[in-house]
Amino acid sequence: MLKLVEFELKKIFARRSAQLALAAVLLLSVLLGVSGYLNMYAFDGKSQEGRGGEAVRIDKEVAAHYAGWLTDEKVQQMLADMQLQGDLHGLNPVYLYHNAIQSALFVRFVDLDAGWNGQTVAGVFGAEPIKIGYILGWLTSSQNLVKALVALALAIIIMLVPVFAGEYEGVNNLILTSRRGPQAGCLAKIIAALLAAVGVTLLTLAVNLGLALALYGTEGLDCSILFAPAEFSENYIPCNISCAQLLAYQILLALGSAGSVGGLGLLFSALCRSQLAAFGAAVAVYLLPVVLPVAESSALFRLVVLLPLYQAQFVALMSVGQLSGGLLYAALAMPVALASFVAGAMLAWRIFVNQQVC
Amino acid sequence: MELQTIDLYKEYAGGRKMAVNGVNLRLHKGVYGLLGANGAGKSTLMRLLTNLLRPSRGQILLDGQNIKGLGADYRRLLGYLPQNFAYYPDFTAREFLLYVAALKGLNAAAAQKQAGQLLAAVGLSEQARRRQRIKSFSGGMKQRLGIAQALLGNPQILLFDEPTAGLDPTERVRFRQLLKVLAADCIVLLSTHIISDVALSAPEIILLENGRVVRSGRQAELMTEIGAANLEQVYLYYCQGGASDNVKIG
Repeated sequence: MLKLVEFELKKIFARRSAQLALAAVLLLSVLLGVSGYLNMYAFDGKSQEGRGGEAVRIDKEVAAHYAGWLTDEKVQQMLADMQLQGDLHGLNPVYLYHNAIQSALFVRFVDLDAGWNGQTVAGVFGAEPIKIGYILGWLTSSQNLVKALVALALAIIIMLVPVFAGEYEGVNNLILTSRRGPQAGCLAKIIAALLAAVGVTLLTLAVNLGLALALYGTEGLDCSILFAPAEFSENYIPCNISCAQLLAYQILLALGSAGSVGGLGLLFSALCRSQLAAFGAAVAVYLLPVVLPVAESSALFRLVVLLPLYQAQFVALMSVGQLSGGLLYAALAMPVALASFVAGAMLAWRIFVNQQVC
Repeated sequence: MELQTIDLYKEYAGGRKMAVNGVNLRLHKGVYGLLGANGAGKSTLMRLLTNLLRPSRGQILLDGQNIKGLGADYRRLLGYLPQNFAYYPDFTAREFLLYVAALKGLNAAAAQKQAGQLLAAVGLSEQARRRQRIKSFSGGMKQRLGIAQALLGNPQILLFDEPTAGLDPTERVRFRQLLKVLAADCIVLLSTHIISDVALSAPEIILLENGRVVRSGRQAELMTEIGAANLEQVYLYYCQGGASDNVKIG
């Protein structure tokens, strides 16, 4: 069996289309990571201003000054330190950006005149303590990872579509007439497909997280994602989890996405005799939730959001709410992913083995 | 060992096209030449015998047991070269044989040994040594690889569908010699529309036309029966009616 799996992996990765797709995803990851870093901007409100690495340094310096648990006293201190000079000319201060901490403060605690809006920490965030610090780097990296993982899902489909569809070009004759072909041969295909999908996902995660670690360091991993700049506060995950927990969920959901996309790819690979048709059909089904007219407030959205697309694009999934016992609803995506892979793989197996070779 | 077909039918298009039409055969150890024009139903009959196609009616029995129920026990005995032999272009010949050997359930040592022997037997050792990828092979080399993969695992039922297509004269001679060796222990069914290949290597002949067996028997007897000088005349005698234009005399 091991030998068969080894051969199937070779078949998957020997294809130029698979190599190009994987290279494109890794290149996209690096480009997103590096451009995000180079486009960072920060102004400490006094004298220091910079972009790229300088912006990260300033942001970290400002964050370090207030790092720790967020208290009402700390909010007042920050409001005093970050008081705006001059007329806003009607601009909503929430959309004014100096640095990550200032933006996070303004989006929660200032009114239209940039004064205190009267809210307390407990009033905004509830009873749970909020740890603050430099989280912009990890949040940006997490956002980049979403884009990379959606691209990766398409790459996985490209890689797995030939697993069965490629055999219809003639080798199916040999597989299906060999002693172990219909059983061990097909099982090896499924195992190799899963290994390939999970393997490239781990590689993509490693490249993205490794780059993030190199560019932003470990600061902020234990801080809450709730005290975040405006672009992350609006329509972002409403749960009080740390950056490390956020990344752990994202990694788990990325692996789930690899499995469910793998199941989808295998199913259409066996169903369609043409690789192109299989790719088109699998991508259409994968992207289908985007065009479904289901509002986020609808009960149906709770089901839609469990589909493979949202496992990669995990923010919507993690925004849905919590199950009892503090368990995130996103946890449900894992059994869905497992079921998707098993169902896709089993159906593909059945279709392939029961084909009539004319 | 006996491979038998009983009233075997394969119909397409809701019964409007009968690819195999009531075929009754009994095959024992030896080489059988399945002759017929293009579209006579040779490949369909081959696929029915491999279980790649399910018959519309009728049965295929191996020593009295329906092959449908035999599953892996039947496939273990099979060696099959399909009409359009397909391969993985980025594999080398040895890798391809090792893959097929793994599918056939050979252990690593036996697979390595047999792959080496078969590569030598079909004249592909040099290409294997140079780790040449199959995509760079000529048509004849690919066909020889196809023959080699069919022989892996010492099968007892060998089904060759147009095995000599693309082979040069020397390779065809070598293939015929190989068939003679195999005939002692195996049922070999050789499907082709090249009469000379069958004439020189198959003592038993099955003539197929429009899905029906129009005549079968020992080559020598068929010739004596109608006073034919060669197999070509036998073929033309039994399979006239336009099919003769499709016959290649090689």
